[in-house]
Amino acid sequence: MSSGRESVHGLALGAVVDLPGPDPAAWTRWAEVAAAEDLEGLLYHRCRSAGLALPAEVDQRWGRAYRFTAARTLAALAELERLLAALAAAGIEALVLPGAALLPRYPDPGCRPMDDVDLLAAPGTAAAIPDLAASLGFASVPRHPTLLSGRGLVVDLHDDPLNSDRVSGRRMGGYLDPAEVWQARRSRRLEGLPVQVLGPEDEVLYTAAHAVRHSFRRFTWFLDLEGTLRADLDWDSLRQRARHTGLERVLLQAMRLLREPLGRDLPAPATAWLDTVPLTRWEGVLLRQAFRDRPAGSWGDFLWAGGIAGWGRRCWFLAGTCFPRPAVMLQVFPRLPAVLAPAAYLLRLGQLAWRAARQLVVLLRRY
Amino acid sequence: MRPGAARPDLLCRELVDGAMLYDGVHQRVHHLNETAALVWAAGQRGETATAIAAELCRRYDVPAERAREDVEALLRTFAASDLLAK
Repeated sequence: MSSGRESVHGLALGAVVDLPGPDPAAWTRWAEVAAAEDLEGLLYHRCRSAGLALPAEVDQRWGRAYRFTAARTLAALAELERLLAALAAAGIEALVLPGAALLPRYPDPGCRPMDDVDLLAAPGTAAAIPDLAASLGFASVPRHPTLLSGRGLVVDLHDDPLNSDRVSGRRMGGYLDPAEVWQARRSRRLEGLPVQVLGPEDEVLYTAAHAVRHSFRRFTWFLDLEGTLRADLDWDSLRQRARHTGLERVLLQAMRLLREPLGRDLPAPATAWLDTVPLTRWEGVLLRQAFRDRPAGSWGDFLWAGGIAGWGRRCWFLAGTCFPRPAVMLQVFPRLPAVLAPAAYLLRLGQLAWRAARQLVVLLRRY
Repeated sequence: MRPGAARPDLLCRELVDGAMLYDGVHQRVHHLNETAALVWAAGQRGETATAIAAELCRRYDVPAERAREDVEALLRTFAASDLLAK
């Protein structure tokens, strides 16, 4: 890992780091890392609020990204308010999932970019939402009836938090039961907008599972997780909930990365937990690879599988995740005519083989 | 000159380098730099242009007449941009 990358990560996490100084090449490296990690807005805020002067070009670039993120977030929240009000008027409740739900953990709306807002419908109500959203001008993305695009806002509508309804094999790796999640919900304000969000334990588990599933691609997911771990948590409840949902291993994997290599001081109960439940060798190897390859890399599902007990369940998880049901496969290949759905499995096999070969080349070059 | 109140539907947010106003009706975002943000916030507190200009003079090295002209120009811009309640 280059020192530029380490320092950018450190600054994003709020650590005291040395800025590059007058060397333009070093600043260029910082700017490249910040852009690749989508951290420009957050770094701009960190530097401005600390009174640190940035080179004019970097200041301009990060400031633009910061204001762009702020504008997009405010627009998305305004549209979300309109949607939630219409849902409430129709007697439908929905809960805002992380990351949008974690916006209050950031200094302001310019610091955390988000592509969409994930909404969890109250049990048994999801089917009614797309039509209602359409009446407000939202359009669903072709083949994604639950991906709703409005004015400045894309909503990813969930029936269950981890989309186990779409990818059934995922249940082998853990399951957040929608009814239980719904019961534990609580209220929060996002830029003044009152919303319902996950309970504290579910918020931690969801954030960790989401980050692992997507191979820790976005650095802000580490900040999200650290923020949820520093919330007022009942650690005994979290441990119980993690075991009950089968998500203990993914949480331990994510916390491990926060501790090392990111060097964060975790709350004492988290450290004790990590020390008493060690990772397997397989998990350790995959975790190192996943961190080295971010923000690219596709280790997430393997990492998750590594934490599942038993080869049978592990293989079922991987098979179900790599080859989900036909409707989901057609979302993966949106240009493939629906009548050719079986061919999607062959295309998927080719896609996975290509990714594996590319990953192998990276590994061979590295070692 | 006394600035008007903001349109009630406007979303205002202080940022590290000023402020942002989101106008959902016109689908427009306005970024105010630090000085404009200061004028906007003082205006929303009901301060007069004269008082706001005096505040600018205290904070920045700017002649009183210039400060007053700038504040009045900004307040006209806010009104022309349909950011104030009718």
